[in-house]
Amino acid sequence: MRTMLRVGLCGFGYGHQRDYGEAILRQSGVRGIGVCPAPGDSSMDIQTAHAAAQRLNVPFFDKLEALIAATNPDLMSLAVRPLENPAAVEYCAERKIGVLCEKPLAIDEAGMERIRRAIAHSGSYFCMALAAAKFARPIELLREQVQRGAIGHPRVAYYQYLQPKGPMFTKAPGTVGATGELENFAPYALVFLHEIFQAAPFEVYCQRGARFYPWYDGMDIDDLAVIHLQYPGNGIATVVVGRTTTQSLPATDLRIEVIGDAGVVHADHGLANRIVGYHPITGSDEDWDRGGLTWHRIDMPDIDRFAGKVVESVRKGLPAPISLDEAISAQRVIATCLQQPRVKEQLPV
Amino acid sequence: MAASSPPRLGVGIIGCNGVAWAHAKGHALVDETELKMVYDLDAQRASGMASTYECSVARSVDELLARQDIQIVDIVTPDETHVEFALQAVAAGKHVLVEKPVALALDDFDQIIHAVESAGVHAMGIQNKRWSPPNRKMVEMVKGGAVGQPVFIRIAEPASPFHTPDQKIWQQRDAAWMLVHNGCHQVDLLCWMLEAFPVRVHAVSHPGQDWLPVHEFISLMLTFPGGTVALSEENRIMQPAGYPFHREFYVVGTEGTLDLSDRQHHSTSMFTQDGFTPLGHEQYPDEENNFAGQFREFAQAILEERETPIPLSFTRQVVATVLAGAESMRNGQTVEMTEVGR
Repeated sequence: MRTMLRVGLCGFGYGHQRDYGEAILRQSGVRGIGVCPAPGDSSMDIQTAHAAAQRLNVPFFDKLEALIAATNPDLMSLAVRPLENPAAVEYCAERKIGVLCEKPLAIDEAGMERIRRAIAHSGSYFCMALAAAKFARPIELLREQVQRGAIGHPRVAYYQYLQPKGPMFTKAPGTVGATGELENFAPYALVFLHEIFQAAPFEVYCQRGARFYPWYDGMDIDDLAVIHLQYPGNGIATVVVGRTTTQSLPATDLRIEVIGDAGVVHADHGLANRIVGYHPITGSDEDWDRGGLTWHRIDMPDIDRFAGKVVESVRKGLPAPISLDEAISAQRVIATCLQQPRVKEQLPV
Repeated sequence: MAASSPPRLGVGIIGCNGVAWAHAKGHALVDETELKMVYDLDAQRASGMASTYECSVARSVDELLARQDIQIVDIVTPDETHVEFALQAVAAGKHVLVEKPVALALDDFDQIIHAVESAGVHAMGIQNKRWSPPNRKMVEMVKGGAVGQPVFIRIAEPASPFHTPDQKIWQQRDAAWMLVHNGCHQVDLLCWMLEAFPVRVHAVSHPGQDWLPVHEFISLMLTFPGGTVALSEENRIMQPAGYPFHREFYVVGTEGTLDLSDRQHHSTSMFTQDGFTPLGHEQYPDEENNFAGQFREFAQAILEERETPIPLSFTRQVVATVLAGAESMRNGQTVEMTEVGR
């Protein structure tokens, strides 16, 4: 292993590189060696890549192959559309280049299998970028207590991840190959629950649909999913994920409850990244509609801690903080959910 | 000339155990009703209640039903006996209140509905949670469009275990008992809020205590005709024993979110040298007030000769939903309400 870990960033379409990519580059012993857009990145995304290259003082390449040929990185931070993810991971794995991969992993079982084979064959490093699944501080505390047996054997869990950010965070109408918020957010829940119950679920029931953003319906993707899961050893969980239109809540409402046979643990503000503010906005006298509640985001070091663990695991040959097996298990559950019919507005009565 | 007092309807309670005490207090709080007589198989229980509320003790159900000064019979007996006592009371020409679940089978429920219609009396199932002020406020706000079209709802009242090993009664109960016994409360609130009944039900459950055949955690996923998905959780597996009873009621709609969490927003807690103690999460613990609210409106409906606040036909559909949930629990399948003609 080189003294300096050489890291490249590919894909600037999601904000992944601003969060994860740059967090990796901030770790000691890491050197950024280049950026490139991903296939399918928009012209705005390409501009973002150029701006990142300037800000990080690294060269810009027009595609992944060019970046790799010129710089020979140890690790690539990939934020590639799920349709193109298998090809990108394969390309890196064939050259024994480690990968930190944005979700979703792939659009289907074939894509997942392609990634699994590529990593297994090459033995190269793979980590899923899902810091909040395990490393948001309240969740880390909750995990620690469950792992040390503080609540006994976990029996029932509730996991809610509802992100209310505005239309600029939604999928653009007409985007081909877009995936919905079930695919986007459920991995957080499923990776977390996999660790809590130490197993993948064997039974899944899902009610999903597009109830907040009409154009999602047109693209046959979901903005809300409610899932019942059953785990070996009698464990059960309920997961609710989605993107809502409650604009006055400008941060994700992530709340978790794990009930064991000896106690209960709650994480009520799972991301712990806000200050609640009450400000005069409408001046309304309606007792609920003063419109004054807002959440001010605090940037917390969770992703930096996660990035540190990624770098450490690459250097020392340790298991990745979030492994390919965990990512595939989560993706398979999501695939099962997607086989179940969507809830439409008109149902037979 | 002194103003005349409003008329009071005489009440007889059948069954003097457990929640019957909240019923008795509820009737005492209501101007329109007056507790006249109580009956229980256990004479001591009946005497205890009669002594507290200064009313008579019946030696038999027949004696209570024969009282001319009793217009309302309030049935607070074990679930399996509700139908029998309800039919007896209706046959005696009494108006009837019946604890939930009104019946354990839809055919029996239909028998009650038919008898009530034939006799021309009023009858209502107990759904006192509608009269809990926070629940009422949530329902009013949603019905008033505060969050637009409701999309997702979660309602739960977590508490620590209901059954203890020393009791004998659980040995006669099956896995779905907790759901059937208690599930009507939350399902009724949801159906009332959404003004609709679910078309699809899916349940998962956990026994909670390993020795107990009754499952004390059930999550019902209900899909409503407009696409709303609701989670109704029956939860008596919170640990340790004494975990405070509380409510979670969360509604996300197309235009906003309502979040009523007793534990997060109304909890009182204490740190001392002995450690941490949650003093309580409930905002409104006085169930008696909730019963009083229902009894008042029931009595007024009788006196003013208008429809009861909750028609039996509505409660029948709530029971149908709960029974569908029990079916889903048993066979692990989704139950389509329309397919089974419910």
